[in-house]
Amino acid sequence: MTQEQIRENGKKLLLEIRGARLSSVQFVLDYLILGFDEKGALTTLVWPEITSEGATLSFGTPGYRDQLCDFITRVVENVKICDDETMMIIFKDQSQLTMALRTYKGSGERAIFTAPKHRLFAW
Amino acid sequence: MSRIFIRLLALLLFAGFLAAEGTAAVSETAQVGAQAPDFIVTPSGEAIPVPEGASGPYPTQSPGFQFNGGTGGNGLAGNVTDVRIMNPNAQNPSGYVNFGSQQVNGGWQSVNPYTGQAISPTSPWWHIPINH
Repeated sequence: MTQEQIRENGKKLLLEIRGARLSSVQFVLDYLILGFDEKGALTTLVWPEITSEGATLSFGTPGYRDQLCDFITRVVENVKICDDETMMIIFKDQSQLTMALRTYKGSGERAIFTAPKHRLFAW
Repeated sequence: MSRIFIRLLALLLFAGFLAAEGTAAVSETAQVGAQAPDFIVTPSGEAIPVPEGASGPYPTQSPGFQFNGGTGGNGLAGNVTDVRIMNPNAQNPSGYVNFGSQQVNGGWQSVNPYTGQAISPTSPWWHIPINH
């Protein structure tokens, strides 16, 4: 399996959250788990940048966590993963969560998506 | 008899995983959802415990395989439900093991396999290197 095929596998799997609500936001120590109804959950070690109503909030900004929780019940319209491994979750109201995976300073995986039927992908 | 077969299959899968060119083979052949073995043993003799009652091996879309849905046992903390054994990559050249506790929202929360406590990605328990 080529690296390209592996990347496509991940993208294809993550696309399954389209149409799902963000149903949970779980803060775990220094990372985050986003649950999407029954479609799967994204564990991300990169704090997303929040774009909503024309404003952008980064991790560490006052109100960041509240704003993230405010996304609960928003419905995913689309998911994009750019060549530079920036992952974007775009909601129906055009708000967006952006995770630039390459900004992660640690080693190893940066995000893990777990889906029903024992499916898992790690970036 | 079937348990012996499952153990043998898991060992074969793991041997494939350890082989440099075994990545695709693992993903393609690990389509088994039977009851898991108690341990996976590496060629160097290290035992990787598998949560009791877990099923698998299941392939992971990024190369590797996993066992899911167990509940501790075999020396593991009670809240350890999953283990995944991932192929070598640039950042983890010998491959790695990660123990998880499945969350209500379906998320994968990495835990210390012996205490069951949630861990940070900076913890050495997050990626346990496989010694060949």
